[in-house]
Amino acid sequence: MGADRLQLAASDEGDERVIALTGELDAATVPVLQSALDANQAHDGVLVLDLEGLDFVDSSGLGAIVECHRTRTEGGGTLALRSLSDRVATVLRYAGLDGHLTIRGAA
Amino acid sequence: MAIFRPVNDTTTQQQRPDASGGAGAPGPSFQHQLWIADGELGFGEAVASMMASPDVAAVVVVAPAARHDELRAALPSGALEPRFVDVDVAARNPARLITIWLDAVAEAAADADGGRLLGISESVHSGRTTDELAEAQQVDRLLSLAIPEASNLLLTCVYDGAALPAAELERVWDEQAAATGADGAPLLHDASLLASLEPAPLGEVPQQARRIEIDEMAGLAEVRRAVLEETTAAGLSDARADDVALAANELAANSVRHGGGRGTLLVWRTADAVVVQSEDAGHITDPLAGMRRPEPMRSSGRGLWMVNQISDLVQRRNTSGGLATRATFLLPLAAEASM
Repeated sequence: MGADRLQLAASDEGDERVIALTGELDAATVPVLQSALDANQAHDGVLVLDLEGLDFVDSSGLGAIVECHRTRTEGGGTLALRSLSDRVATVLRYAGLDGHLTIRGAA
Repeated sequence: MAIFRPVNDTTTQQQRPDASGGAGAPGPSFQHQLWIADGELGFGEAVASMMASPDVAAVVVVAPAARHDELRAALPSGALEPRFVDVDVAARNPARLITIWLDAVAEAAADADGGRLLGISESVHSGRTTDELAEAQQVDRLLSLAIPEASNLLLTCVYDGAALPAAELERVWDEQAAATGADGAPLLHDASLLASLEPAPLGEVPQQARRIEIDEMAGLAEVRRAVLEETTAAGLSDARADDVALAANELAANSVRHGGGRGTLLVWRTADAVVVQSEDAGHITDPLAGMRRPEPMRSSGRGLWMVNQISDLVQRRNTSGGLATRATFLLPLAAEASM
């Protein structure tokens, strides 16, 4: 139980790999995202997380995103976030992460 | 009468406003003093006189808004322009004061020109509730631990005796006396002493509090759902309700992660607030946990920090059974009335 609270859908847009998150990203569901990020770490182009369908994120979920951002940046790649809801943007700010992650089309 | 007592300086006894950093000090190093007034405070004049020292290169004042006006009125033309921070907004939850001062120190270091950063901090003030005062006073002590020794900050924590409850002032005096060693040297920078000065135990959890047991992360969704039911009933805005659910989520996750794998999350309403509390088998090892801004690229250790950022008050206590962490969210009317 629990893991079905977060669904992921991957697709390619040009040479970018987009992973769309739907549901709730917390300490229970974060392994789902973690595996997807690990599986796509070797992707050469930009890795994009589409957060439009994300209803909730906690510090564990942010931790996985930070970890991926750091790994990709160190390897010369990019992790970008897009379509953040106001709430997810607010939680990023609470966490002190605004300005430290790559965010596209910030609302 | 205004008395200045050094907190972490073992050589200088300052009995008057003095920004020089002590006679013959070789270079700037962090100094922390308490300014305890048992009569007229004269805030504007006293701070203006501290600012007049040629050593002072920058001034940050973290105090209630009325103090900002008092100081502005007392400053002569051509005086330094202090940076004013409203303590009732920025450090509504007193725990946030630690980062406010660490940020001020970092900023001052960035454009250091050899001068002093003069800091005035009035977080223990009469606009706070009894519970808030206890935390605010603990945070004032923790500033001694948190600020790097090598910083150029001369920090004065202000206690207005004419306005604070008499019992509160009495306690400050008593603890100052207790915190002075046999040789007269202040001990408040001592971590074990600070731990022993932990504030009074938390008030009782009301019987009608809702209890949610959690023993795996999969239970977090249920914690959030239960908390949102309470916030809806209490009439919090959607955004604030989401904050309460996030705080409960982080506290419960910490119980599973650090509190022996399980814990209890309690939520209840009072006349003016929604309160969430985690209870688990953990123990406070670092009194500054969650009070320092996490490194941006750290992948963990951000939960308690966020709770401190969004709550109106956070109280953590070692208890007979382990650790209790309580976060309070004021209802809109209560939040306005007490500012």
